[in-house]
Amino acid sequence: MALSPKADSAADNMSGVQHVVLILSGKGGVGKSTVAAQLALALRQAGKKVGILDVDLCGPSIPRMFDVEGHDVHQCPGGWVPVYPDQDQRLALMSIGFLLQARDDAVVWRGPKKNAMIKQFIGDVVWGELDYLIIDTPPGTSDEHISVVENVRQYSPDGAVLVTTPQGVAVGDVRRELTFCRKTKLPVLGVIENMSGFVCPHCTECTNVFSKGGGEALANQFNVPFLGCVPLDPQLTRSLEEGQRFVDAFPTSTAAQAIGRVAQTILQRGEQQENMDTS
Amino acid sequence: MYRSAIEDLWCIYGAFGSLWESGTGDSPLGGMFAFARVERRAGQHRCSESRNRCVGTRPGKNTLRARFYDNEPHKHSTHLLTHLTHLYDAGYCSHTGVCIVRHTCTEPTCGRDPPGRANFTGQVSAVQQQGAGHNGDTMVAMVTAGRQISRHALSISLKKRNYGKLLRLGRLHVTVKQMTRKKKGLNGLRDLKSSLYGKVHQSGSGWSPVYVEDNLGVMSVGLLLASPDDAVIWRGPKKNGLIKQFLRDVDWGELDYLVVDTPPGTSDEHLSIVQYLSSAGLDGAVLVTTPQEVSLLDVRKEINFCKKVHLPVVGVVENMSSFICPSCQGESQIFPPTTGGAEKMAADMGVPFLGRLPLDPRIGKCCDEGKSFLSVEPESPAAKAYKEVIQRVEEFCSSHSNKGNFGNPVE
Repeated sequence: MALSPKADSAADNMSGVQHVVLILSGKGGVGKSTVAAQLALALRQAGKKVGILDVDLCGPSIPRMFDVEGHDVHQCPGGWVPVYPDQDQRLALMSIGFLLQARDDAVVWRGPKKNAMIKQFIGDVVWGELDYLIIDTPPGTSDEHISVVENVRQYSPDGAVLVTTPQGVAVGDVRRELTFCRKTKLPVLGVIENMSGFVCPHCTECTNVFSKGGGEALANQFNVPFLGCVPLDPQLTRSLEEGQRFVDAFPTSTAAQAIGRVAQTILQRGEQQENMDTS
Repeated sequence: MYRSAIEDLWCIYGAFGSLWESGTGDSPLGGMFAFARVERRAGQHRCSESRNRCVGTRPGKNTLRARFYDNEPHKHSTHLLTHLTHLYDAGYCSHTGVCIVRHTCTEPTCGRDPPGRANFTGQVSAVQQQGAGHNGDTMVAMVTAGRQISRHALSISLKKRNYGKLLRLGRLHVTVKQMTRKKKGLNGLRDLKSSLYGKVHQSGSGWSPVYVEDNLGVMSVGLLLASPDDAVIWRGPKKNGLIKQFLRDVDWGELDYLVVDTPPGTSDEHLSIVQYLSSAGLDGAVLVTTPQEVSLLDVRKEINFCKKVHLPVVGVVENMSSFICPSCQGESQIFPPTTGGAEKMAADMGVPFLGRLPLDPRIGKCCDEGKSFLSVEPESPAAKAYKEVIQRVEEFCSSHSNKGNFGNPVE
């Protein structure tokens, strides 16, 4: 059966992407978008060309995190052109936030429409040559996740990074996300424990605001790598608010170093994958 | 075409069944006849599961569509509660008339089952006041807020968590007004939940919610799963079906408040719950956010969603406002309100501001252990803040009794 022209162009647009990494979480509000953004910046610092695809259609946060909220998405013969927040075009963004008329417009869609949109995001965006495509997802295991996995399956994604907070409630939900990964045969690159501890600026005492150790225990239980703890850092949240590049501005902070280690793990995994493919 | 005597017998039973059947399993006979109808149409396996997986039907030769049931929804009511994948009332697409088991209509308002809506009014009228909270942004503490407040009978976060575990379908926190001021943290608690897995019972009057206290019952898809690791990977139509069952088939009894916890976003679940409860009347929605702008962005969308569906907004709660260090009592702002926080956003959007909840590690701990934070630490600043918010919500609910219908969201 001959491929439709649409399928051909879909293959073309994603053919320049070397590695696809999904950021998943069973629970909401654990910091997926934050981790996705910082990870992308850390990979860019390591010299890679990175793209971020935000498939959280109801609550897109990526445009705000890079201070490119009002930017428009342009069309070219190959499809949509992603938004480049920097001059050297080493970071490409695509989110539904760029397509909304007003920033407060609610996206009240049922599953089928969301699936169609995600398919377009994956197939119709001219990513060009990218080393890494990071896909930021909404919480849960719903339409969006099923669609993303179905659509990127043919490009052999590197795997998924799961984000959790140490609290039992979050860990309980992330276990189900691990089940989702297992069922969809998506490799799990590891678990990140976000919001793990807060160092009080007044007395430098570290308080475990959301308990401690849940992420690590989960990783051990399910036999997946534990990628590290990222502590709560007001500087990080402030940078996100203002669209600053946290890993660039505060490279010595604990959070930045933790993200850096996660990025190193992903890079190593990517290189292993490349070696396996070429050998 | 020739029909055997046995087939005729089924038809007759079916006819009687249709007389009795006024809802789902209201009477034992109704259930039996529903069974009969399923058996009758065993040959037409409409369930989205493969024949081998479905436990509710068996291979049969009959493929005739029964004449007695022209357009009634087919329901696999014989299925065990644990076999969730097709535990829903299929209904028919209001736009194309096609059974929605295999059809996904792209109309945003589709998925409703007009004949079934009347049942919601009947079932839900026993609940005197209902509320639903909306939370544009998902934060871990959102569910905590819902739980802590739910005991005190408040509408909380229509923030459904649609995670692999059917959290997506959310928890319907049910609270019955009581004299005591105890609050209970529900769920999530691994310990509590693990003992509750698979414990939902079905009786002649419907599913029984799980009562964690005498006057606090919970229904959640999490309670229907066999293990804490089970993921619920469903698309929209299936989720809608289960939400409908939660509302129609659960025997809530007499309630003062029904609190509906929802996942983040403005998606199938939110549309469904608003549509299904519109005839029964929703008091309003409580939105929970953090002071960050990235959260406020999403909550603004949620407020617009409420306006679109004509759902009154009870107010906005700012969670994780500030953090008091337990050792030096110094106050820090982990999530700085760079754009004025929730109070300014509420003022800009013209909705009430209900209060600020500080970040307290003990809240998370209580939730994990299944205790009520308000009874463990009643004098803490966080507990006082919770009580203030609850009081304001109660005042809203008692002053606004809204039983009107909400419009459809127009896209």
